Order: sequence, then structure tokens, then C-alpha cells
Amino acid sequence: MQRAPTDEELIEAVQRGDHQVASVIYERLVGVVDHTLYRVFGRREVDHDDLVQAAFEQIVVTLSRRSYARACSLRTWASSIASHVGFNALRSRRRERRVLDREAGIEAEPIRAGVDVEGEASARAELERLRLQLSEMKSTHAEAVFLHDVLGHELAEIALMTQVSVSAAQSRLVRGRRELFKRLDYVAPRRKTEPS
Amino acid sequence: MLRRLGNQVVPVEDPEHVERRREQVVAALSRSIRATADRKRRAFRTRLLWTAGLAASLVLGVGIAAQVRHTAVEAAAVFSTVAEVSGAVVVTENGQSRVLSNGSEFALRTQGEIETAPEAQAELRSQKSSVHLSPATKLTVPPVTPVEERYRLAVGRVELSVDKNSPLTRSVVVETPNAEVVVHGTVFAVGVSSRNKQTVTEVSVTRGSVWVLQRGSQVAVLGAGQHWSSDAEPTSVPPTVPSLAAPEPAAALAPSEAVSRRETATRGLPRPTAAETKASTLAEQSRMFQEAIDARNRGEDARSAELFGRLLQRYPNYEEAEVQLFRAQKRLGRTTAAAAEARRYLALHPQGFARDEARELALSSSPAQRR
Repeated sequence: MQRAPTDEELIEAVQRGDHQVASVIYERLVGVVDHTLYRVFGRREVDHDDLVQAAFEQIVVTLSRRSYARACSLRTWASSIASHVGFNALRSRRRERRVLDREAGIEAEPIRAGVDVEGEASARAELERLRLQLSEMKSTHAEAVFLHDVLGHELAEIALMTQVSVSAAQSRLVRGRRELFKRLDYVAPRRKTEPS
Repeated sequence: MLRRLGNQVVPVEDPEHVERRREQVVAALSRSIRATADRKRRAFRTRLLWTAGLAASLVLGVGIAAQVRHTAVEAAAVFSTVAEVSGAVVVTENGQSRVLSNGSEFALRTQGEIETAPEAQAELRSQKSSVHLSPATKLTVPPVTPVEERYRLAVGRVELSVDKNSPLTRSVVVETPNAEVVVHGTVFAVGVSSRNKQTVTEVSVTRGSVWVLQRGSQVAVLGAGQHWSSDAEPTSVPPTVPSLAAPEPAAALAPSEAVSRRETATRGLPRPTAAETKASTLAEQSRMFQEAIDARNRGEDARSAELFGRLLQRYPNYEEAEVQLFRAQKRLGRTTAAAAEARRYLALHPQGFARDEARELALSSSPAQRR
């Protein structure tokens, strides 16, 4: 049985220009890319496949440019790239929405049987509002909040992925949370926010 | 709420759709990997080309700068140019001879020898003078020094025109086998020919004045229209041979004869004759004078003044040395000493060739003048 190539071997193959590894990269990263994009949008949009492809192309570019410092796993790196691609798309979509209703024709996620329909709809509306606010925030702040609080990455990982210091990543997270709460009309908790 | 967003369940996709997307994305990824690698290779090649171009430009620039510098140095090294050539003229420099044809030029960088054929003529130009070489002339041109521009005429005739307004203060000297013609600003001609198996130097002055020296001693001062020949006594100007206290016929002997006589004396002849003693004295006097003149030509005025002083102590009443002494002292800024020497000179030689210069110097330093 042939051994699956390691992350290092895949990166070196990409840097050499070996296109045979495309399918291996896809198989390894498609799950994390798909899930990240789903969480950014809250559903699979009509252009979901295009966004997946754009995220993969961006991953290949960063790998061949050696922007990836190999300090975190390839999956973590892929989730960071995918969230970046997703938020950029979400932002441009919000701008376009004034002209086109891109959501027309998208099937709403079916409401599971036996749940409170009204409560579920209210929760969805809240999440949609949250996404809207994230997309309108400063991109670095929104990504820091999303990577930490939604995808559950450690601050040190976020610092490596976004190529800033840990203190800068922490600052972005704190400011991002404060801005988000303000936008959602939340009253900031009295205790000091302790990023994990 | 953020945690809820993270815990949101991601629904499973239709396998057919997943497969379709897989094919599409993998194909795009392959293209992207190839294109990125190609771009990198192209960028590398472009960088390489730019680097090579930059290096080539740098090398070219350095080469051009070196060439310009070399040309400038070469141009600075040129001290004389042979031009306006007519007929066959041979120029020898560094042991290499070159025949110049009509209209061609040649720049002298080191000592050069110019020889004109019987029908040929040439013009030699320096920053201070221009020398016209008549047919059948052989002239050696040593490199110019800050104090002297010298031409050695072996045979033939040269006509010199020295720019008296030139800022260059060096002397122009024409040296023949038996004379030296020193000028500061004038037009004159010097010829060397053979007469009765003897080399004869002839000097004709068109404008200004020249000194004629023989073995370091001034023998004539020529003005415009005057002529001097080494073959005969000067007609227009009496030669100012160093006036010894008791001149005797033997004192006028040529140094070569004097030297040969001195050599004979040292070979063990019991006692030199009176004539031999006089000849030896004259040779010694000439040697001392030459040493002092050489020091002056090197710009060593203090040494020159010292040597002239020593010469005058040993051989007083030597007119040329007296003149050179007060001039050296004047150059050194010893105005009082120079004026004293000038007054002494006027007392001894009221009609001396440098009387005007001496009078001016003596008056310039008088108490009334100083006031």
C-alpha cells in the first residue's frame, strides 16, 4: 500500500511545479475548505464550488510563493485561506446585493422536524445578522474573531497564519470582539475578555 | 452566538455533485500549479536577464570610465606635437621610428627624435613654443620639465617662436653640440652645420633677445636682428666671457682641451705649466657655474644662491654669476641682500648687460623707496 505524502512533500511538489499532486491536495484539504466556507456564509451558495476552487488556487499560490512558513499544519493554513476568501466574497456580495438579489433561488436550509420553528427562525436571523456584521467589520478584526471564536484556532496559530505577532493577533481579536458587540448592540461584559 | 456559528452542522452534499466539483477543482489546481511554476521560471529568467544586463552595463560603464581616464592621462602626457609635415619626416620615440607623411600629426609622450629629409619640413608645437624644422635637420626633444623646455639640435636649422605671454615660466633652451641658447620670449633661429670639419652653431634673432651660453658661461646676449656664430667672434655684441683677473690666451681654451690637459697633468707630469693651471681654473669655474645653473633650473633657489655665492668667493668679478646671485636672492624674497648684490654689480660693471635690472632692484630697496 502506497504511503500518503506528508504535508512537506506536497508543498515541495507544488514548489517544483509537479501538478500530479493536485488530487492529493484536494482530497486532503477539501473538507476543511468546504466547512470553513459553509460557516462563513451559513450555507452553500450558488457559487460555492467557485469559491472552493478560488480558495484552492490561493493555497497553491501561497505555497509556491513560500508565504506558508510551515509553522502550522496545512489544514490550519487552508482554513485561514478559505476564511479569507470567504469573507472577501461575503463583503463583495453585500455590496452587490444593493443591485442583485443573489440569494434568489437558493433553497433555505430545511428546518428539522420536532424543533421550535419560531425559535429556529429567530436563531437563524441572529446568525445571519452576525455574519452581516462580521462582513462589514475591518477584515483583519473579523478574521481574527472568526478564526478564534468560530473555527476554534489558538491565538498562536492565528498569529502564524496571519503572519503577525501573538500580541498583534490578540489585539485584533479583542478589538474585533468589542466592535462586533457594539454592532450587535450587546453590552460588553464587565469582566476582562480573556482570549483563550 | 459565535460558538453556535462554529458548531453549526454542515450538511452532506450530493455525491455526484461532490465528484463533479472534484474533477473541476483538481483540473483547475493542476493548471494553477503548472502556471505558477511557469511564472516562477519566467520571473527567474527575467531576473537573470536583468542581472546579466545590469552586470554588463556596470562592466561597460567601468570600461568606458577607464578608457576616458586612460585617454585623459594620455592627453596629459603629450607635451609636444609634430604637425604641418611636408615631405618625409621620421619621428623616433621609445626606439620605434615612424615616417610621417604630409599633413599627419604625431604626439610626443617621451623623448623623441625628429629628422627631416633634405626636402622636408615640420613644425613642432608645445604649450609655450613652436619650432619650425628646416630640411635636413635632426632635433631631439626631451620631455618638458616645469623649469625647462629643451631642444637638442644635432644638425640643421630650427626657427623658434616662444610665446612671451605664456603663463608657463619655464625656460626654452636650444642646445647644440657647442652652445646653449636660452630664451624667454622671442623669435629666433638656430643652425648647426659643419665647417672645416668643425661643428658650427649660428644664432639669428628676429625679435626679443636671447642668451648664448657655452659650457655654462654666457658668451653673448643677442637682440633683434643680431647674429652669433660659434665659428667667429660676435660682431654685434661682445661676448661676456667671465672676466678673469688676468686673462691669458690659454684661458680661452675649450673645456675639452682643458680637461685633456688636466688628465695629462694627473698622469704624473711633474708640474703643470701656467697655461695648464689657467685652463684647469676655467674648467673648475665652468663646473661650479653649471652646478649653480642646474640648481636654478631645478627650482632650488636657495641652493643656487649658495653655489653662486661660493663661486664668487672663489672667482670674484664673474659678471654672469653676480647677476644670477642677485636674481636668486630676489626670487627667495631676500630683497635687501639682492639689492646689495645689485649695487655691487653696478659698481663693478656700470655698463654690464644687466645694469637696468640691477638698477631697478637697487632702487626698489632703497630707504626712500621703502618709505
